[in-house]
Amino acid sequence: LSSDSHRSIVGHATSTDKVTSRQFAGVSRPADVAWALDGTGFTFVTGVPDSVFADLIAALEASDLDARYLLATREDNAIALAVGAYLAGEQPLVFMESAGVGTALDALTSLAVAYGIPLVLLIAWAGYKGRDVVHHNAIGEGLDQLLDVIGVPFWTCAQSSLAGASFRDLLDKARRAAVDHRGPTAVLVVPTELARAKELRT
Amino acid sequence: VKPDDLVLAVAEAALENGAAVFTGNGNLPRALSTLLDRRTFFYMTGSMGLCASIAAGFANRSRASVVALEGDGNLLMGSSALPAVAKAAEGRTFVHVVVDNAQCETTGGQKTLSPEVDMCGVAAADGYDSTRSVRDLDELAAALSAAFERGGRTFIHAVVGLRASPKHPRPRLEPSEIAERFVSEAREQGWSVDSGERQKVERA
Repeated sequence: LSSDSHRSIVGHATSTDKVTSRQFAGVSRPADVAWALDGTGFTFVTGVPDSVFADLIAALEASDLDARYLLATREDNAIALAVGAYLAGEQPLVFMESAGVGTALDALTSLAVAYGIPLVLLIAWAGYKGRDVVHHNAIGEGLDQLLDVIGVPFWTCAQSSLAGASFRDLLDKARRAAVDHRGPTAVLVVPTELARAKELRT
Repeated sequence: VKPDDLVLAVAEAALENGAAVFTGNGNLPRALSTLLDRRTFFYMTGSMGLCASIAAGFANRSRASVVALEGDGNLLMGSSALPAVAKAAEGRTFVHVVVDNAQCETTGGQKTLSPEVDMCGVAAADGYDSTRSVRDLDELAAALSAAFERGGRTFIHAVVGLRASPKHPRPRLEPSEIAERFVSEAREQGWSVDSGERQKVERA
């Protein structure tokens, strides 16, 4: 995977966005989630919640996809459940907050990377550019470098893009890249309150 | 109980019942891959504590019966996952065997906290349907056949005492080869829950 695609930034935030995170928090109808998952080729979802994904998770819980959705106890547990589902032929998506990447690090490296498992991480990027509370900044500020070091290609988007077609395209791109390079990839979602509009325009 | 005999007893019961096998790290993948290697065995060589989670994720999306085989150090490290493991394996034949020698053997025999812990009690509290503690090969064989006959989520605590395991080499396959071999065999066996639906996704 080239470093160009590695760093591509997409999103729909503009300087005129004056909306609450709630309005943009994501997909709220189960049918939309089902469409989003089918359209991107994901067949299994697990993870640990973050408020950025609250609507997405609510939709998963309310949908008839419950057999394909499991809430994990910890992020390493989520990675391992996803690896198991992959071994049964599924294409997994794993959501978590950036702090959870720390919890998941051994599972990511010695399991998902080492075994060449093409799962996609959907990460709420708390601590983005050090604009968050201290305990989020401590890992979030260097999250991009951390993912570089462990060899996980990633793309970044704004929380405001979660309900739109560009997010679906990004998930699809990340899935294809994971399959191509035989290992995990990630989509990082910058919370609305940490994003400054121009940074995340395409 | 000789540790190798215990590993073989579990693996042979799994093969008789057409079950996939997942091992925790340490001596177990070394012993199993040396003594009785099969394409339906998945050797977890790192990620200590996560064997049961991998096995349960597979069980959730598969028609196959599943055996998770790990040591006490792995169980103690990964016990926070057990509620999700039990949930993922709900309605499946899921047999979780913990080989308890009360030590981390490959790192030098350090004593673990296992004597302080009621492992069967933990498993029952976290959602397993039945639990059983066994102390010899006959009890193990009985527990395994009951587990496959009854179905559901069974936890078997096999207490083997502080007995040194024979030294076996690491699995000869690279991790990526272990995964590829397993995926291809799972497809061959038709273990996927809905292979038709997935083919549709793959074509898209």
